[in-house]
Amino acid sequence: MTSTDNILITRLMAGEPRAQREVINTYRSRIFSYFRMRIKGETYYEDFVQEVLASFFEAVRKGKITEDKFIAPFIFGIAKRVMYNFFYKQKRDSNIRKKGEEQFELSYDFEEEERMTNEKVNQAIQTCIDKKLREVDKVILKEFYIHENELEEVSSLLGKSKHYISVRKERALKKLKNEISKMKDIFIG
Amino acid sequence: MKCNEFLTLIDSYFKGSLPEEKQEEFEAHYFECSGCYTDLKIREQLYSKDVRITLEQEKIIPIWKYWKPVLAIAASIVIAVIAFLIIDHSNTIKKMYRISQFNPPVYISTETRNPVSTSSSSPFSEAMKSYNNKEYHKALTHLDKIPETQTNPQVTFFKGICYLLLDRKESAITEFDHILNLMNASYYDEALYFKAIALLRMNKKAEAIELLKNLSQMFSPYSSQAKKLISDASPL
Repeated sequence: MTSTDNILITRLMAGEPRAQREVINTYRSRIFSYFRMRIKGETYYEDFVQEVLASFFEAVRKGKITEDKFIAPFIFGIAKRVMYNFFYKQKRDSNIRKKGEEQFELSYDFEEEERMTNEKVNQAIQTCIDKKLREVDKVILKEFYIHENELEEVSSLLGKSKHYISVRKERALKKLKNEISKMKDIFIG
Repeated sequence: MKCNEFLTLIDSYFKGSLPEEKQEEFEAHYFECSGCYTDLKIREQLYSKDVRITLEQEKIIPIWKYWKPVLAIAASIVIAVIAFLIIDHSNTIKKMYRISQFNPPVYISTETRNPVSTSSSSPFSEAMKSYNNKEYHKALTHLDKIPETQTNPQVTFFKGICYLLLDRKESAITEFDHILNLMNASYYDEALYFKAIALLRMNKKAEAIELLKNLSQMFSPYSSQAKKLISDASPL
C-alpha cells in the first residue's frame, strides 16, 4: 500500500480531482461502517463522513500529510478524533458541528453514494445466497445473522458438531466474499 | 493485527463484545485492508437484516403446487385400482376358463336322437368326421350346409359345441338357446350345461349358476357336473 499511497498523496497534492475520488471511493464505506458501529442510533452519519474526508483533504492541502505517510491510518486517526469530539461536544451541545464556523466542505452526496454501494453489495449477497448456497448453509447463516444465535445454539439446533457448523459458515461467507470481490468498483484500495 | 485474527473477531465486533483496545486495533485494520473490510461489510449487511435468507421450506408455493403431490398420489391410487381390477378381472376370467374346461362331447354314430342322414357323403357325416378330427371350422362349414328343413337339435347342438370350442361364445349361446326354446327333451340338458359353460367363460357367473342350479335339480346325467361347477364357480 505504501507505494500506492505515495503516488496518491502526490496526485492529491497536485490537485488531481480523480485522486480525491479514489480516496473517497476507498474510505467512504469504511468511515460509514466505523461511525455506524461507534455511534449507534444516529441518522446523520453523512456529517461524520463529510467531516473526516474534508479534514483529510484539508490536511493534504495544508501540507500536513506528506508522501511518507500512510493514508489509512491517517484517515482512521481523523475518524477517531471526530468520534471523540462528538462525545465530548454531546455533553455540551447536541450539534456535532459548530454553527457559523467556517469549514471546508466537500460537494459529494455521501449518503446517496453509500446507499447505492450498500444496495449493490446487498444485491450481490442476495443473489449468491439464493443461487450458490446450499440449503444447510442458508439455515446456518440465518441462525447466526438473522436470529443472532451463538455457535452452541446453532449446533444443537441443527444436531451437528460445532466444528461442522463453523466450517460450513466460513465456507458460505467465503462464497459471499468471492461474489463481492468480483465487483471491482465497490471497494478500491 | 493479522487478517486471520481479524476474521475471528468480526462477530464479536458486531456484538460489541471486544475490549476497547482490541476494537481500535480491529478498526485500524479494516481501514487498511480491503479484503478484511469486504468480510466486515458482508457481516454488516447480514446483521442489518436487509438480506433475505429464504429457505426452501419457507418459499411461497402456488396453491396448485400444494395439490400437486395430492393429485399425484390420487392418480397413482386410481391407476393402481384400475390395474388391480384389470388384473383381477383377467385372473377371474382365467379361473372361469379353468373351471369350465370340458372334453368335447363325443359324437356317437349310433345315436338315435334326431338322427340325420348318416350316409358317408352327407354334410352331417362330413361335419362329424371333421369334428372328431378337431377341425371345428371345417365341421361348422359342413353343418351350415345342412338344409333348414333337416336341421334338428343334434345338428344345432354340435354347431353350438363347435362355436364354443372356437371361443365364439355368443354364437354358441344362440345355438344352445335355440334348443332350449324348442322345449324338446332332446339335447336339452346338454344345451343347458354348455350354455352355462359359455356364460362362465363370458364371466356371467350369476346367470351361469342360475342355469346350473336348475340343471342340478333335474334328473340328468349332467346334474352332478352342474353341482361341481357351482361349487367351483361360487367362490370366484
